[in-house]
Amino acid sequence: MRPGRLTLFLVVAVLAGLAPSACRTLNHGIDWGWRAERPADPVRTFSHQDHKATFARQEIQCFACHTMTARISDEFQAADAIRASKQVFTGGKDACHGCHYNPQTGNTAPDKCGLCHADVRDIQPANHNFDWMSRHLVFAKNDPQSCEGCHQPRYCQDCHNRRDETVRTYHDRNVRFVHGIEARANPMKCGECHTSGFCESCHRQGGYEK
Amino acid sequence: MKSSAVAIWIALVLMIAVAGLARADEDNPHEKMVRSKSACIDCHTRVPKADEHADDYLLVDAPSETCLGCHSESEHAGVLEHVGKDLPKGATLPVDEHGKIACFTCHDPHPDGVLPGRTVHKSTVSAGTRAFIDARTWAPPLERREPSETFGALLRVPMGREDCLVCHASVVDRPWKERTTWSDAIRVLPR
Repeated sequence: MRPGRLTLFLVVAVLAGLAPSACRTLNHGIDWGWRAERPADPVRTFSHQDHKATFARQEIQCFACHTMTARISDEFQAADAIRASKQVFTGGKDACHGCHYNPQTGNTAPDKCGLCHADVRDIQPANHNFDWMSRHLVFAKNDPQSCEGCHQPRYCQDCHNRRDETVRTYHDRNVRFVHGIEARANPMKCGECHTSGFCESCHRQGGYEK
Repeated sequence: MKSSAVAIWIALVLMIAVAGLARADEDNPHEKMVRSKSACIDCHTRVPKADEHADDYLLVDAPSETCLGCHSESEHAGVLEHVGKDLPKGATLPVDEHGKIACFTCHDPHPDGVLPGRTVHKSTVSAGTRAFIDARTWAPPLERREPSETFGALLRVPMGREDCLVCHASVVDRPWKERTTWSDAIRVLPR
């Protein structure tokens, strides 16, 4: 057998060997192969089938989410009209939050953000960045409603009103021993709550002084 | 003297406004065809006979253009997502001269009672749906729009879940794990 044909034969043999595992993919029960990765966009994880019984029970019609009772003004450019039509017709955030997150009337459906948002950092406000833990007081006092836009009141109370030390708030209880590993793995994460001065108060001149 | 002049002015303004409203009703072909068969020729080349069928529906303009004489191309949200698209196989609703979805695929221009044996439906909105719509926030260029109280939305199929399912019944989306495409999948290596 010539080398070219041998290579071709080997490639086909390898692909044929992999094919059965590839066909089994998308099944999370298998040891190896392909696995479905959850899309980050909540619209892509939404299932009409999963909501069918709820919609029927609550008499929610199709156009509750796929709203057709909005007129698009002629005064705007065609591109704006197309964008606006798509925005209101595909439901999206407003439609989902009507049941899953509704501060006005209360939630009638599960309200865990992670249920639809695979990575909650995608919806984290821009101001929740460096040293947010020490700065959040100013924002919270200035506009408490903005906190309640995402957080339940118990979220604040967990830090500000708890008296039982057994409940973990942010760090694990062995933080003193493992924080060095976490800090080296992702220094930015420390900065979400602490200023550099916080670290330096213990770690001065390359040493540990406490 | 002065008060009587003001009264005359108010009466004149009211008369003009009422006359204007009456004129608007008269100009509306959907209103006119309820009262008179002569309204047919506003849109048709002649008064169609009972059970008469023609590919162009005997319309003065191209079927896809007829409604646009009075209505906007973006009359309501969702129009741009439907009009001009193919009708799914199995759906028995009228299409335009190109075989595509038009305004009259979902809406019947003839109010209920105009054509013998044909029922035209008003929009019916459940309390749950109404609460949903009321909670939505729309920014320009979107404007709130309510269907005419007289005729409703002039629908061919009763509003509810059935109206959309005439075409979309076969579109049953499975849970995301089952409909994930290869591009969404990740490789899991052997242990």
